[in-house]
Amino acid sequence: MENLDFNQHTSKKYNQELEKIRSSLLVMGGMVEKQVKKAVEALVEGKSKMAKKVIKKDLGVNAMEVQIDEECTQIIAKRQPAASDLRLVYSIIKSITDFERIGDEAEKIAKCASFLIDENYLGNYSHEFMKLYQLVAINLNQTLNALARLDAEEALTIAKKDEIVDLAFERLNNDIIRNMTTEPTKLNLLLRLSWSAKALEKIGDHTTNICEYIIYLVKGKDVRHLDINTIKEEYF
Amino acid sequence: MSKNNNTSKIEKSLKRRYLKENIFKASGYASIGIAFMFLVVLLADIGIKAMPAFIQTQIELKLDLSYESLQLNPESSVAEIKKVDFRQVIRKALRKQFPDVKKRKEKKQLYSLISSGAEYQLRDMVLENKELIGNEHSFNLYADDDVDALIKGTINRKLAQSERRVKDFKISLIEVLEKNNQVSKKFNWTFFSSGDSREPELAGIKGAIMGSIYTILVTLMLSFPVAVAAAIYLEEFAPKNRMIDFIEININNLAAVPSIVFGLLGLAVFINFFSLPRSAPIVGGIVLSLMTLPTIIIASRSAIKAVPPSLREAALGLGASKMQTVFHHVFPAALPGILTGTIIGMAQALGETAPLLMIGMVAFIVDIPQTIVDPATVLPIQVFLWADSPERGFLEKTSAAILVLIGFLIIMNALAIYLRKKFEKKW
Amino acid sequence: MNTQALQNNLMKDKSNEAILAEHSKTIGQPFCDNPKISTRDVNVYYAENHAIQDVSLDMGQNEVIALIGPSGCGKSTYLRCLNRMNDTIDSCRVSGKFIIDDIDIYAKSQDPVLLRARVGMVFQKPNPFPKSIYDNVAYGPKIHGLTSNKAELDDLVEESLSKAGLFNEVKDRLGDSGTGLSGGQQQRLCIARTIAVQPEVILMDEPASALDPIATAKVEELINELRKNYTIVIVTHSMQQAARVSQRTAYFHLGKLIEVGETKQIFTNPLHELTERYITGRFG
Repeated sequence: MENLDFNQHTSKKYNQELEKIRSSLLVMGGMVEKQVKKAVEALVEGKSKMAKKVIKKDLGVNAMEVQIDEECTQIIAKRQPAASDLRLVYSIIKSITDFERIGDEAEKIAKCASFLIDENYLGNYSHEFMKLYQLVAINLNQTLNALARLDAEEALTIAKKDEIVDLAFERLNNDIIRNMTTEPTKLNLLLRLSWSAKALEKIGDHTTNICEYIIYLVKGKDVRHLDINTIKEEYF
Repeated sequence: MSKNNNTSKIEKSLKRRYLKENIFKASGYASIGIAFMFLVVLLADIGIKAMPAFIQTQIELKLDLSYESLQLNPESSVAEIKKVDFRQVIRKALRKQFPDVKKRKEKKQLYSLISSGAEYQLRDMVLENKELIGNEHSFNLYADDDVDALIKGTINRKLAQSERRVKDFKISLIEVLEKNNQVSKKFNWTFFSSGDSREPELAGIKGAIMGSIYTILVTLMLSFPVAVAAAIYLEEFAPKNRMIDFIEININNLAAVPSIVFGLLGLAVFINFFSLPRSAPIVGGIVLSLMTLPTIIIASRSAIKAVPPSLREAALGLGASKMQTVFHHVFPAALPGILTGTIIGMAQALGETAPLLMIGMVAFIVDIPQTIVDPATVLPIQVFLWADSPERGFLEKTSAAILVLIGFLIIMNALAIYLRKKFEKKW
Repeated sequence: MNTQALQNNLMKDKSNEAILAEHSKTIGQPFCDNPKISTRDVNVYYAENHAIQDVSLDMGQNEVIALIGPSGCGKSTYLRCLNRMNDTIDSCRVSGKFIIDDIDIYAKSQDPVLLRARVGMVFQKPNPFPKSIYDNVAYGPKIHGLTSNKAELDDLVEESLSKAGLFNEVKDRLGDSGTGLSGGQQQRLCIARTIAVQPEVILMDEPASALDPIATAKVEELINELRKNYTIVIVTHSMQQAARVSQRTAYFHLGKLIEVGETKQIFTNPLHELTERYITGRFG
């Protein structure tokens, strides 16, 4: 069902409940987006305080996941949602897991950042790293927009762009690996850098997952593990 | 609890509402009280008036039944016994008891102590038990209705002679009999075992009871199947069209037709045209069934209508035909209502007088009817006849007949309740 | 974007009435291969009221198909056409083709009594006869003469009660009145009564609407069991029930068949805007 509107139920309370989990989801999305941004900033600019803050704030993200989860459970128990409502609740439950994972990845980056800052090392990866981050950040940001607007086409476009993220990661990672062979003494640090890049790549994957949930929510079709072109042909 | 504006408003209105409720309740009690009072007064009045009718005064006389006085011999046949003048036997016994009575007028008074029917009573007793012949025996003979009334106290002995029916001389005779313990009061079986009579002390209600039973049976046999069949057809099978509407309206109208009109119809059609016997229960039954048909049809239809449609659907859904549905399920479920309606109709028929007057059931009939074509009368008409009679003794008979009629109605209603309880089922 | 999606986009802001006025063709899969019951262009009128408009729908072998829709949508009327229960209503006119196993059930030669023996029906309110439990079940076989002696009848009664999952509960009191049972037991008795006639199709008109949740669950379980041997058409107001017991669901709205589809699809992703509004509770 296209163009969903969750505001027309006979029960106004139901409208409010659905609205609440939706807005909570967006708040959580915004929260993890900020976490990622700050973690990368800490890493690139060597802000160790900021890194610590990110690690601490991940608890808040986790708490948010639990809270939204609980609200969704309540809606299922009380309202037995069907059709688009069911898909909304289902997508939200799935999405918050991915958001929580994104939060975890941000935390991972922040931890690596703390280590690297202590060692005072970033090498010359700052530029490459920012490039990868920007790709991921744009995708994440657009995903949040698509989620707010329930825009399946946008979500499909974003999902497609994940390939670019993967390519960028591969390039960066290969670079790091090459360095590992030339500077085996810094293996410890380079490994941390590689982990951070991997974390960004994973954030991209989680973003793609969320896009798939958006498509499911809007189109009613489960598009996970399908080829993107097939999806486009069949469902759009 | 804080009282807001509404609470006090409601409180104020509550008083008014309860007052209205109480006034209504009180008027309800009053109405029921009045109705009940009338009923009690009516029943008590009839009951008190009827009581004497169930008691019969009898006078004991020693009768000489020797062969010579009866002019019989031991080989006499029944026909010969029947020819015996038992009146003379009784008169002889009276003369023997009161040898001083010589004047013709006084003798007449003496003979009128005993009912004119006593000779037949005596004859029947003798015929029943021939051993009595040849000896002297004491017999309890019916007293005349005036003597009966005097003994029961309905005629006041203390009034001046000119103001009462029984003369001083006769009272003196009665007093002698009383002194000799020859006067006794017995339960009046005759009232229940004999037919009508011109003499109150001999008149019984059995003829009317039998007449009523035969009439009601004929009515039931005719009206129940016809009415139930009509009701089932109209409710379950009839198409909904103008013709059926017209029939329905006319059935309802028929229920409102004055009953005497049915009597006229009976007279014109059944007696004059079909030459059925006059005064017979069969004609009465036919006329009354015409009258009760609409009552039973209307009651049966509403009983059938009250059967929940789910019961019909259940049967139809299983593949029962229309006929099976109606006769296996609808009719048994409606039966209690149908029976109630039928018995109400029968009770109505039992109390009906007017149409039966028209077909001659008002005739004076002494014999107890044996079949539905014998001339007969019915209870309400018997009441009517006796109420019309001048003899003092019929006053109490009238009330007693009314009691019997009411008893009949109570029995029928009890039967209705019993049958309803028996067939009633929950669903 | 496919055409249906496009249409739905257009419908989004319209009222139910406006959507309905435009609706002309049932969407989804109203037809199936090798159907048990096949209906085409069904129209039903109650006097002047056009209660069902051009409904075409198939019911497959051993399938539970749920008919859902708001009150007065014609789903019960449609159901009652399938065993000609509407014949008993004078003002009701039915047109269209109804085929069960290649037989036109509205043909002049078709006896409705025979049809109702083949197509059993269970009603909304449990309506056992005011007779004993045994007689309730034995009534159908008796009037149709299905058994030749008492022993056979006894077996059939026991078998039917067992199939309805009621035998163990009532085996010691078969002589008691059927109306003395609890609501759920009464409804299962009615189902036993229906299957005692050994029909091919069972129609159920809101069979659990008067029952408590436990009794409802038992009846639903029973429906699931019965599917092995019968084709079941069930009308229900409970969407959860439709979702639980049926394989296909048909959505009726004001006499029109709007959408038919697999139950799992209807309840997660209905194609039609009206279906969506109904099952998500957006009928204002």
